[in-house]
Amino acid sequence: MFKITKLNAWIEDKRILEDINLEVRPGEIVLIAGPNGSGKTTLARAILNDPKIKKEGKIILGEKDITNLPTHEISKYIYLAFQYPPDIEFLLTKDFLKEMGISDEIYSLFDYLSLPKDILDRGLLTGFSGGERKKFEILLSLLKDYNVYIFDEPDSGLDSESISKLSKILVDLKNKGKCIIVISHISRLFIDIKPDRVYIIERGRIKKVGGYELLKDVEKYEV
Amino acid sequence: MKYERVLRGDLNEDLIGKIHSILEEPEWLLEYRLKGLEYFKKLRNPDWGPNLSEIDFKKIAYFASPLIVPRPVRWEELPEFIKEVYIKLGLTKEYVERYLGGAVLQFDSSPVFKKVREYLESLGVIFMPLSEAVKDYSGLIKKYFSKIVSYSDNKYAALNTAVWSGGIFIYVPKNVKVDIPLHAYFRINLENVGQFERTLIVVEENSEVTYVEGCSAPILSASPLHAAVVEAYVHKNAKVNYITLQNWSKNVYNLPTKRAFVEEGGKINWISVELGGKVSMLYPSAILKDNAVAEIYGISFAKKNQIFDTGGKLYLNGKNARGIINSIGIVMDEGSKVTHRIDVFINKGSKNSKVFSSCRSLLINGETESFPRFHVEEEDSYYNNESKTDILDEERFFYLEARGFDRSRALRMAVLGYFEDLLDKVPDIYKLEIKRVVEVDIEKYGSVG
Repeated sequence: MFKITKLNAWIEDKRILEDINLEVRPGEIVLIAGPNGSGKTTLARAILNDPKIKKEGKIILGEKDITNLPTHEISKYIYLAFQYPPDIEFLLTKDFLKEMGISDEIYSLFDYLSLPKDILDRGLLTGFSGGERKKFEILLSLLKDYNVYIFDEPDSGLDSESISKLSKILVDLKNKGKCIIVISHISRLFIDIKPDRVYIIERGRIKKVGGYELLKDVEKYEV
Repeated sequence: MKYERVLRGDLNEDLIGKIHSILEEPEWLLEYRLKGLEYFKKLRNPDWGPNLSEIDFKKIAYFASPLIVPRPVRWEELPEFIKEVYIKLGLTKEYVERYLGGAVLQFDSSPVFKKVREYLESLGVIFMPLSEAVKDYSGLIKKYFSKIVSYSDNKYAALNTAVWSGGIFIYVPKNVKVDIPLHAYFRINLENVGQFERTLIVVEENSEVTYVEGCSAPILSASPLHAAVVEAYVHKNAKVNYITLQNWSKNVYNLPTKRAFVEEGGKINWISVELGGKVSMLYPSAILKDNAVAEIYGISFAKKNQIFDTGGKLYLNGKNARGIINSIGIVMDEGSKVTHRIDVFINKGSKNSKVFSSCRSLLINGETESFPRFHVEEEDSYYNNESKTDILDEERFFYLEARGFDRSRALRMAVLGYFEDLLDKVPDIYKLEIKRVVEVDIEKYGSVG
């Protein structure tokens, strides 16, 4: 069980999140939706303890309080697929993967996600198209075993074939009993699979919690 | 050591005379010292680059017992390139440890060092303190001394000429490839880390030598000013590799002048790793004749309040001359700064000559800038410079931390990756040592930062 209680968060004294309560049981997919700027990405980053976010409240994984663990410790349990991963041109992708301890299994995944292998010889996330960035973040999620998976807008910029693959990946993770959080405002991802719960965030607060039927409201929030 | 005196105070002819007589030098050297003094007084601090106005010349110890470099005595602590020398000379780990362990004062007479000396003698190579060599090989030294770096070159080269002591002389006769690197470590009386050391390297036709100066341990300095002069004369088709690991304590102004004169078909490699000091101004340079080659590689690792003003200088005076200058800065903290300064003179007649330079900085915090300058008088030539700054900011750190790297591992991966290309130009055996030295520095950084 992954659980957030009474989370408040600030960036440079500006309150971004207010009294967030959220839980994901193993094998559940939770969808967080809401308009741009409502605090969805801040929530994802606060979970990873981004040092520029000040926070109060508790984030519990199983029995463990991970609220204030350093990011690299939290990353052993929680994988965050970034909405906008930064480019690090001077670090070659293949060297980065090697340092992550990732072996040759990766090659078949490149093909599976139709990600060109020449990115290995490029700087990390450098000169990647929008779709390649998303695919790379998805690819990294498959290379290790985590307890919690957070996908921050994983489907924007993806073609429909890739979206259905991502959807299949989510089903697999669900079947393995993982906790899955998807931040999205596009419902294309949920054609074959339905989220177990939908949280709608507005201006940093959870406005509504409910079932898949809330997605109709999500459509409304699309920008 | 032979001398235990310290001379401070007003720099005048009297003080110069004292140094000259303590060292029992040949007469001709006094003239150079006095010329140096004259130009030191005449020349001003550069009106560009770091602020040097805080150097208080009245407080400098102009002459002092040379410093003792910390020497590893256990096999495991030895740099790879030194181990390799022992292995090559057939000395085992047990043998080396038995004769080096604790016996610091007898280093030079120890069988281990004797073996190195005998090997060099068998090749006809001279490797000794310059201040002794000026007595034993006066004529030879006079031919080259101050000919490549003139006493009038800059204020600090002038100062060095006036007050120098310590440093080394290397002479390699014709057709000899010295297949072990020379390092002050191999002789106890070769303390090349004096404040005003002077190095002279002469390599005759078709010969080759590698010299490694400095060490990975931080060197405490008695004086806040270090102004060395290095002159290398590379004869026809000869080759010199000069590798520096600079790790002065954090109070030192490091203002050396290093230059090579490279005859037809010769080659100089300057490789510098700058870790220590407060302010460092280092521009290894080369004068190139026909078909001569210079490669200048520098890595500057600037931490809190350290300022490195660095790069290289080339004077192309011959046909088909080739030059490469790669300057890399790692800029870590607020108040730290790396300035890349490239000066290339492609003189008339240096037809078909080519120069490639690059100035790259990895900026974490602090400041960096580049000033590549090309003075081209020969149209039939080619030059190209690339300047680039890469930024490792908090967002990128956060990404790497979210991928499981703690801050010091992320830093290590980024920094070592950053100069990987440059290290590929360095022979493997030094590559390891350079990596190790930088890793030690990053680790230290990780634990406090």
